[in-house]
Formats: sequence, structure tokens, C-alpha cells
Amino acid sequence: MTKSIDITMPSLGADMTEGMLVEWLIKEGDKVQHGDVIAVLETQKGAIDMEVYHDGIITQLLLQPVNTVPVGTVLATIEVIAAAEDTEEQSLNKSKQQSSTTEKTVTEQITTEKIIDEPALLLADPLTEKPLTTTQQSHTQKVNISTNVDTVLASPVVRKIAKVQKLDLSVIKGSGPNGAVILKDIAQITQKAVLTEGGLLTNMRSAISAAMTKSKQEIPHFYLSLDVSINKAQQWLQQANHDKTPKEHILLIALLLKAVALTLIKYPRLNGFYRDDCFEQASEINIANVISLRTGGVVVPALRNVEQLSVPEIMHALRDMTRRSRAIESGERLRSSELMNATITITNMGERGADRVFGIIYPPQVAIIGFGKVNKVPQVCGDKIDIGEQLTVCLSADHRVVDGMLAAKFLNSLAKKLQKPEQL
Amino acid sequence: MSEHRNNSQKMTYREALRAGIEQCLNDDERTFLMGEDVGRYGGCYGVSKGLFEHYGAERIIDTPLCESGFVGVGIGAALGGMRPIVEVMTVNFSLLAMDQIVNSAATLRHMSGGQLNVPVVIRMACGAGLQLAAQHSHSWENLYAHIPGLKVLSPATHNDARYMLLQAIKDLDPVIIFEHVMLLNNQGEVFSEPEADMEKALVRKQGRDITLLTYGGSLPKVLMAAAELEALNINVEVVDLRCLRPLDTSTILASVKKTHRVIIIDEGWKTGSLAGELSAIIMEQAFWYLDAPVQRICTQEVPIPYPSHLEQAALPQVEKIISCAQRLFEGKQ
Repeated sequence: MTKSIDITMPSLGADMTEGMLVEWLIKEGDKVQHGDVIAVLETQKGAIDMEVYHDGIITQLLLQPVNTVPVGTVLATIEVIAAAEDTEEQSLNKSKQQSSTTEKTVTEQITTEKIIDEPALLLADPLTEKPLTTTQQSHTQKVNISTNVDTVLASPVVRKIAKVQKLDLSVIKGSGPNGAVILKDIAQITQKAVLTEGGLLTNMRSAISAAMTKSKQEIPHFYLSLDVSINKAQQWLQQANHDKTPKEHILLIALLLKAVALTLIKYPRLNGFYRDDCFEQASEINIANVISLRTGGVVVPALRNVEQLSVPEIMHALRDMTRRSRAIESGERLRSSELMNATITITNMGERGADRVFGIIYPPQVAIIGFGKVNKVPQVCGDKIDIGEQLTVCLSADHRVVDGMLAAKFLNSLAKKLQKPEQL
Repeated sequence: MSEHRNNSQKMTYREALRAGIEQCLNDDERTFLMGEDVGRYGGCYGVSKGLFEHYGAERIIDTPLCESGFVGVGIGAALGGMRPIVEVMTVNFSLLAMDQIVNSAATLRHMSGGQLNVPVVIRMACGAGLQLAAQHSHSWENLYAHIPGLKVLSPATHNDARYMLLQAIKDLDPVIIFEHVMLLNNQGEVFSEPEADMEKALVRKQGRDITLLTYGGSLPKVLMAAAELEALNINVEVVDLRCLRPLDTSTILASVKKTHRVIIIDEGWKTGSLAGELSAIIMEQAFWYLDAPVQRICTQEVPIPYPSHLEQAALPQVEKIISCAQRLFEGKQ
């Protein structure tokens, strides 16, 4: 038995409302596999390769390029073979069914996240006093997945402003009835828009603005920092790079990423999402890295399963990702999954940056780690003072999820890992 | 305008109405006043006190208790070239003359292909608050505001009480003027000229947060609420409709587009009310400017009760306006 599934315009992060279909890379009737790139999208984050999340046959392409549509719009349909799974699923008990729904693809998870309030809202509606049955609930959820943009409650004037200024209302916390976004909720953003660019913000600026405003308004951040000696790490890098060409050199950031990933295994509460008033621990360690663009603005693509990669592999992946982020006309682009599955973010100031950076958490994540620039400092070594190298690691964490003690332990554990670079 | 304001005079709303009638009688000899007890008794609400003595029985005419009859006579006189002012004691009793007003006065210009017009002014008392019970206390402005061919005025200020009649009597079509009974004894300022054409709505208080739309007897309550809201840091704009037909939609919409939030205060019953019409106009023409649903504060849907506490409970009140504005402003509505 086959099953037809809608392929929708994905949400590549909580700050995206619409995307432009630039090109189909497949045609109707093509066989595709999970992970195949099927289209090129133009979004607020630049051009993105859109992946498919099922194995099957593309039955219909419903949207012609070039066309801009809201997130959730059906772009194509795919026929997947699902017979065996389906019948099995039907015979499973309720709890098993629930666990199978949690195994949704990343696309669906992320899309659902945006409209997470909606099913709750329907349930809480005084007009429908009858509690919904499980099947009704899953039905509403499905409906919402494909129509999430429309289900953001907002007053008419807010919708109008959002349209003109390209604001993503789904990331703004509404203070109106049932959480509707009303004028005062966007007053700051719209005011800023007027002040900064004499009118409208660019797409990316407004996306960053919306996400960061939401974060600072909703997340009770706290900040800890620790100076970490990196003499050993630098020595290790020197050795490792000894016989490599400059293009193959491993940079400190690769070591830092690996150290963060391994430390997160011990401190999983920093790796995950805060949604619907509770923390969800992530099952993978996907570290997003803030990449600033030469044209202004930033993108934050994530490296997946960093704890399983070797340091050289991390370096290679980082280089590749940075190049694709910044490539404007080379035809190389970020993939949609890279923008959707981050579980924590790091921001690295590099050589020309500041001593320390206290980042703003990218919702729904719960932490961001900032690495300042490397400085030469006097270090006490036994009974004498040496010149050594250190950098300051800053952790911004969500106090709804983590407390200071745990955050401090995380930083110290990370510092310890960096003293044994050979084990990373 | 400020010049006229400098020449302002203090008087009661009743005195302002009387001064308006006197000026009409003085300006045009075709004008006369007609109604129940308007002459020897001086008017049921005392508006025409002293006029009989001054102008005589030919121009201040006491009529029998028959609204259909004397309103019909007024319409006939207007058709015959006169400029009559007909006083109907209250809007409740005007229903007896509704056939004359709706089926004759309002339609004749249309049905005669423009050959006949009816320049009559019909004044009537309306509104609750004097414990005159369900026989005398209703607010049925909207019944007349529904009718094409009529113009409907609701003077809420002393200056409008003074000058709207003069503007109405110059109009070639039938004009209904509603005089809210709770305004009659209030002292207020009258300037040397009207502030605007009779069909224009006026912003009585500028504001930025919420538009309070109202007319007639509710205006003083709304202005009182506006002053109290100011102390709560809610800066409301008060729009006085003045003319209920035709409605000055451009003034209404300009205010809504500025504040994005609206409360309509209307002493009529909510169902089928003028407030409903205003809300629909806003929805049709300013929907994309709204930040909250339009709110209506109207009279409870009961015949106006006699006991004072029940009468007051039935009517729109200052406290209700304030709490509604607070909820709206805080985004809870």
C-alpha cells in the first residue's frame, strides 16, 4: 500500500514565515530517497537546498518556480510505500502510538513547534467543552502542521504591519486574548525598524530582530564566564598542523566544538529545547555556529552529531559550511536540515574579536556558548610566572531550565577537556 | 474658532434650545412652533417657556394630543411653503406619528421626482435618567437614522443645542432633532457661532489610545470617563457623532485609524443599534487598522425601568466605560 504525503515549504527556524521556490531539481515521477535535494529555496537566510524526508516517488509538483509562499504551503506530493508500517501501527496500543508520533521527522517537529500553542488553544476553547478524543487531537495537529502560518492569532493592524515589514508573528509572544499578538507586542520592533533603516528592515534584519526580541523578552538569561588556558590546545594544534598546507590547517574552533560536544554528553540539560513550559532534552548533539555574512547579518547552520566526529572532520565540515553560507553565486548552498536541527549554539569571536561574548539564546534552544579571542596573559606555573595563552568562555543559559551551579560545572568540565586535547 | 470661544456665554441646555427657537422665529416669519403644551404651559420640559407671550398664538401653537395629526399638519405646512418646528413630547410618542414621518415626510421628495420637498424640523425629547419609566425614556434615534430621506441630529453640547436648529431649519429636507432629557438642566458654554456644519462629527477630545464614539446624552459621561482614564495613563479620543444620519464616516474612520481601538457608547439597545451600524462601518472600512474587536456599551435590553437604581443599572455608565477601556488598552478584550 502506498501513502501520499504533502511536501510543504519548510520552516528553517522559528523566524521564517515564507520562502521562495527558485527551482525544482526533480520532476514528477522521479524516485527520491530520504535526504535527496529536491529543490532550491530562497529564504531570509539565503539560498537553501531543500531535502526530502521520505523515500518514494514524486507524484505532483504543485508550485511553479519562481514563487514565494508561506511556510506550510504544499509544494509537491510524494507517494511513499508505507503498507507494512501502517497495519502494524494500527494494532499497536495507545502509548506506542504516542511514541511513534514523537518520532516525526525534523521538519514536522520544527513546524509543529511554531504552532505549539494552537492545539492547546483549541482544547482550552470554552466553546468546545467536550474533551477531544485522541484521534481528534492528532487530526487537529495534522491540520495545524499544514496551516501553521494562518493559525498565529494577531489583530488586523498587526497583520498588516507584519506583512509590510515582513515580521514573523509566530515568534512574537502575544499579550492579547488567547495570546493574540497585538500592537503593543510589536511596538518595539516596529519602532526599531523605523529608527534603523528609515522605514523597513531587510528580511534578514527583521528575522534576527524578531528572534532576538522574542528571546530577550521570554528567556530569563544568566551568564557565567571562565578564563581557560589553551596552551596545551595550541601546542596540540601546532603539531597536528605541522605537515598540513594552510588550507588544511585545523583551527582552534574545531577543538572547541568537539570539547563542547563531549561536555554536553555529561550535561544534557544545556542541550535541547524549552517549549510549552517544559524542557525537552535533544536526542542528538547538533551545534550551530554563528557565521557572520560579508553583506551583514548572520546565519547559524548546525553541525550534526558533533560528538561522533573527529576534530579534522569537524574542521572540514565547518569550512564547507562557512563557504556555503557565504557563497552567493557559486551555486553552493546550505541545506535545509542544517538550519533546522540545532540543539545548542556557539558564537566565536575569532582573532579580531572581543575578549568575551555573551550571546543571546536562539529560541527554543536553552544555551549559547561564546568564545572570546585568544589573549597572551601572565600565568602562574608552579612558583613562577609564564606568558601563556587563554580565552574566555561565556555561557548564556536559560534559568527556567538550568541553574548557576550546573552551568559553572559545565564550564569547568569544558576547561578540563581543553587541557587534554589529544583525547578530543 | 477661538474668537468665538472668547465670546462665550454660560447658559443651560434648555436656555440654549430656547435661544435657537427664538432666533429661528426672528429670522424667518414662515417659522412657527407647534406641539403639545408648547404654548400656554411653556413646553412639557420648559423649553418654550415665555415664547407664547412674546410671539402669540399664531406662531406658538398648542395642539391636541394627537401626534399623527399635528405632525401631519407640520408636514403639510412645510409642503405649503412654511418652515415649521414641530415638537413631539418624547420619542416614545413619536411612534404614533411615525407613519407621517416615515411614509410621507421622508419619501415625498423621492416619490414626486424632486418636485416636492418637506422642510420640516421635528424636535423630540429622548433618553432615560429622570425616572419617567418605559413610557417616556427610550433612545430610539436609530429608528429614524434607519430611514433614507431623513436627517437625524443629536446635539450633545450647549453650542449644538443653540445652533443646530438654525442649521436644520435651513435644510430643504425633513430633519429630526433629539434632545436628551438629562442634558436640559446642565450649564454650559455657548459661543457666537456653530462649531461646524450639522452633518459633521467633531472630536471633542484628542487622544491616541482608544476612540470613544458616542452621541447625545452619553457625551458628558464619556468625557467624564475620558478625564478619569487620563489619570490612569490611558489617552482616549472622544468623537461626538452629532449627526446620526448621514453619518460622518470620514471623521470616524480617521480616529479609528489613529487609535486602532474603539468603544461605542450608545444609549440605545444593543440589538439592531446604531452602535452595531458603526461597528459594521469600521469593520468594512478600517478592519486592517484594528488592534482589538470593536466594543459596544449599550443599554440593557429591557424596557427602561422606573426604580432609580434599576434605571441607572440599565444605562451605560462612566465606570463601565472606564473598565472597558482599561481591558481594551491592556489587550484583554
